[in-house]
Amino acid sequence: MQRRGIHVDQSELLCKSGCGFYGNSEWQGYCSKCWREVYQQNQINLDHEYAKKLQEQENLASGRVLQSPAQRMLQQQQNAEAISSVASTSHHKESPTQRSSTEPTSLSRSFKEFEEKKVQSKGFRSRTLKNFFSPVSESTSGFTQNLAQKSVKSSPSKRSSLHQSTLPDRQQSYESKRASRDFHNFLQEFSEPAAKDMMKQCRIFLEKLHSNTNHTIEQQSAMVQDFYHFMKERVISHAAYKGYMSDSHQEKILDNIERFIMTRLYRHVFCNDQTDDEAQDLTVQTKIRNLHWITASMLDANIDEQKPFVSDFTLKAITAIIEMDSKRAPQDKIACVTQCSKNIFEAIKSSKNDGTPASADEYLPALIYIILKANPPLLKSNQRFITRFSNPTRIMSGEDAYFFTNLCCAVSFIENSENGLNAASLSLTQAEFDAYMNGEMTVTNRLMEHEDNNMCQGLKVMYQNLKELASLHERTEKLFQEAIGMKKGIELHSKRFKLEVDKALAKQLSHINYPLGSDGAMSDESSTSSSPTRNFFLREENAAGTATSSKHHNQCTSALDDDIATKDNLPPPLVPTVISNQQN
Amino acid sequence: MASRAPQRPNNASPQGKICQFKLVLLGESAVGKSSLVLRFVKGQFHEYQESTIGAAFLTQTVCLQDTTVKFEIWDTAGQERYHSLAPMYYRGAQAAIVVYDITNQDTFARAKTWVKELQRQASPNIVIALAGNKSDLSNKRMVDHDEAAAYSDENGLLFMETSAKTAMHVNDIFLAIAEKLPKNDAGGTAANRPTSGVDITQGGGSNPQGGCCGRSQ
Repeated sequence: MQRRGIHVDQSELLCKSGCGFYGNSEWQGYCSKCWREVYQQNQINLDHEYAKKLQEQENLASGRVLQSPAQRMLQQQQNAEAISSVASTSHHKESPTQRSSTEPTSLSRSFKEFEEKKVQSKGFRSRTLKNFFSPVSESTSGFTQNLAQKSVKSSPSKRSSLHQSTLPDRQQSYESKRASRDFHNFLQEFSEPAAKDMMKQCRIFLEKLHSNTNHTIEQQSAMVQDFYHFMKERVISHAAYKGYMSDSHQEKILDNIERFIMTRLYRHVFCNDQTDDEAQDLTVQTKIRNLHWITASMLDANIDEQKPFVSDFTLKAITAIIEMDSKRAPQDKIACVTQCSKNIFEAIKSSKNDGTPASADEYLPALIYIILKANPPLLKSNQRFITRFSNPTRIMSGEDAYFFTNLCCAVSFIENSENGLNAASLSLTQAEFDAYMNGEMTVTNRLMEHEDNNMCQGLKVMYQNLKELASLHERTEKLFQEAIGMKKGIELHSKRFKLEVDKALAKQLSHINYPLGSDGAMSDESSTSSSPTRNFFLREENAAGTATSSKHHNQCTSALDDDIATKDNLPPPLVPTVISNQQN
Repeated sequence: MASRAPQRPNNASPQGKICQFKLVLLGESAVGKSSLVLRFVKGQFHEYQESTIGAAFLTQTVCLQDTTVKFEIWDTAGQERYHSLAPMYYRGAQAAIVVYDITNQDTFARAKTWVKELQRQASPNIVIALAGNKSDLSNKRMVDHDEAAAYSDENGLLFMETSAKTAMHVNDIFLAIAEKLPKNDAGGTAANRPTSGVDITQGGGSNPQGGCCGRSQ
C-alpha cells in the first residue's frame, strides 16, 4: 500500500522541458542538460540585477560624500589628480601645483576609482572614453565590463533619471527639513493668499532649478537673483500681499524666502562640481598652512595676546569664522563674519591702552591675522557662495556688507602673492620670506618663545602657579622637617636634662645617707656645694642637737677620720693628744 | 539738543525722502581718518554709544532741506601694503573723502594718487572731497593751503582743511558732500525746491549748519 503511495506517475519523472529524458527533483524536474540551460539563464538575470543595484549604490554614495567637508577636500584633491592624469582636461590649470603641494600619492591610487565613479555619476564634465572606461578595465570580473558597456548605451536617459532620484534624497537632510519647518512657521504669520503664493512661487522656482541640471553656476546665480527681484516686485505689486507692503514686511519676506530656498539648494549649488571652487579652497588652505609662522606684529595687527581678555576675543573670533562653513543660508554665513569682526574689534580695543575704538587701519590686519590663525574650511567656496546667492543689498550696503568686503579683501590679500601677502608687505627680505615659506628657516627661538606665550596663556599661568605651589610645598616640607628636628631636640634635651639632674641627684644622694628634714639644713644649703665634708659636719651637728661639746668633738673627729681615711692625698689623721690638751 | 530732538526727521518723516549713500575714507594711515569720522558721528547721534566697538564702519544721518541723507561711512586701511585692496572698498561708493595730514607732505602726495585712482577706477559720478586734517597744528604746517586748494579746483574736488581735534569744518565737509550728491534716484534734486515745507531752513539760508539735525557743536 505504502509503496504504491510513493510511486509517481511516469510523466512526472520526465524532464519538464519535454525533451524526453528523465528529470530530477534536484534539478527542479529538469534533465541535466535542460537544467544547465535554465540555470545559466537565471544566473545571467540575477547578475544583471545585482549589477544594477551596485551601480545605484555607487551613485548614492558619491552623492552622500559631498556632505562632509573633510571628505570633500580629499575628494577634491583626488579630483585634481585624476584630471591631471587625463590629458584631455582644460580648465584645471592649477592641478599640477595641487599635486605637488601636500597629500600623499598613495591615497590617490585608492581614490582614483572612486573618483571616476563620481565623475561618471555626475556626468557634468566632458569625458573621454578612456577616462570613462579606465576603472572598469582594471576590474577583473567579466560581467562588470558587460554592465559598463550596457550603461554606456543607456547613459543619457539613465543618468538624468538617477540624478532626479537622488535629489529628493538630498532634500531630506536635517537642515532642509528644518528650513521647511521654519518657513512654514513663518508663513503662518501671513494671510492665506500671501502664504500660499509664497509657497507656490518657491516651489515652482526650486523645481525649475532642480529640473535643469545643465545650467552653469553663473546661470543658477542669475536665476536666484532674478527670483529675489521677482519676489520683491511681487510683494509690492501683487494683490495677495495686501497689507504686507511696508519695508519691514518686505524685508522679512525676502529674508525668509532667501533662507528657505538657499538652504534647500545648498547641496546643489555650494562648492559646485562645475566650478574650480574646490581647487581654490585647497590653494588658499595650503597657502595659509604655509604661512603659519606669521605673527601679529609682522602684519601690523595690534593684537596683544599676552593679555588674557585679548586671547579670549581672538579665540571667539576664530570660532566664529570657522563656524561660517557650517551655516547654510547666506545671511547666517554673513552673520558669522560680522560676529568674528566684532570680536576682533573687542580684541583690538582690549589690546590698546587708551580705549579708543579701532579704525580700519587696525581692523584689516587683525582680520587677516585671525584668518591665518583660523584657516577656515572652504573659505573660497563660502565667499563665492555668498557673493553669488546672497540678496545683493545684503552685500552692498550696511555693516554686514562692510565686514564681508573686508573678508574678501583679507582673502584676496592672502591669495595674492604679487600685490598682497609677500616679503615686502611683511617687512621681510625676500630671502627671509622664502626661507620661512620653505620651512628652511624655522622661527627663531626668541620668536618661538613668543609664539608659545601667545599660544598658551592659560597654560603659562598654570605652570607658573604649579611652580609656585611646588616651591611652597618644598618649603612646608622643610618647615615640617625642622619642626620635627626641633621636637626631637627638645625631647633629647629634656631627656638629657633629666639624666643630668638624675645624675646630679644620684651623686648627691650617694653622699647623703638620709634625706634632709629640718629647716636649718635648708638654710645651710648654700654652703653645701663648696665642701661636702663641712656640710656633713654641720648637719651632723644639727642632728646631734643636744650633745655636749666635748662629746661632740669626739664624735666628730672619729667620724671625720672614718670618712676621710679612704682618700690618699689627705694629711694623716689628727693625733688624739691634741684633745687631751683641750681638756686641760 | 533735547529741545531740537522732535524736529529731527527720523525715518518716519513722510515729507522728506531718504537717500542712502556709501562714503569711503581714503588716506595714509595715521592722518586721522577715523578721528574725523568719529568727530562727525559722535556728539550728534546718541545711538553711537550702543553699537560702536570700532570706528571702521559708522553711519550718520544729516538733514538737508527736504532730504534726509544717510551716510554709510566705510573706513579703509591706509597702510601702503593694503593699497591694492582699495578698489574692493570704493566699488559702488557714491562719495569719497581723501584725507591727508597738513603737517606731512608725503600724505598729501599719497592723497593725490588716491584722487587719481578714484577718478580712473571708481564710479564716474563719485563725489570726491579732499580733507587736509590736523589744521589745529598750523605751526607745523608742511602742506600749503593754497596749493591744496588749487589742486582741488583743477580736479573738481571739494576741499576743506579740517581738524578732528577742534571739530573745525568736520561737519561742513560732510554737509558739502551731502549737498553735492545727486539725489535723483529718490525724486527731484534737493536744491530745486528749497521751500517745500521744511522749516529747518528758516533759520537762515546762509547758515552752513542749518541743514544738520541735532547738531551739538
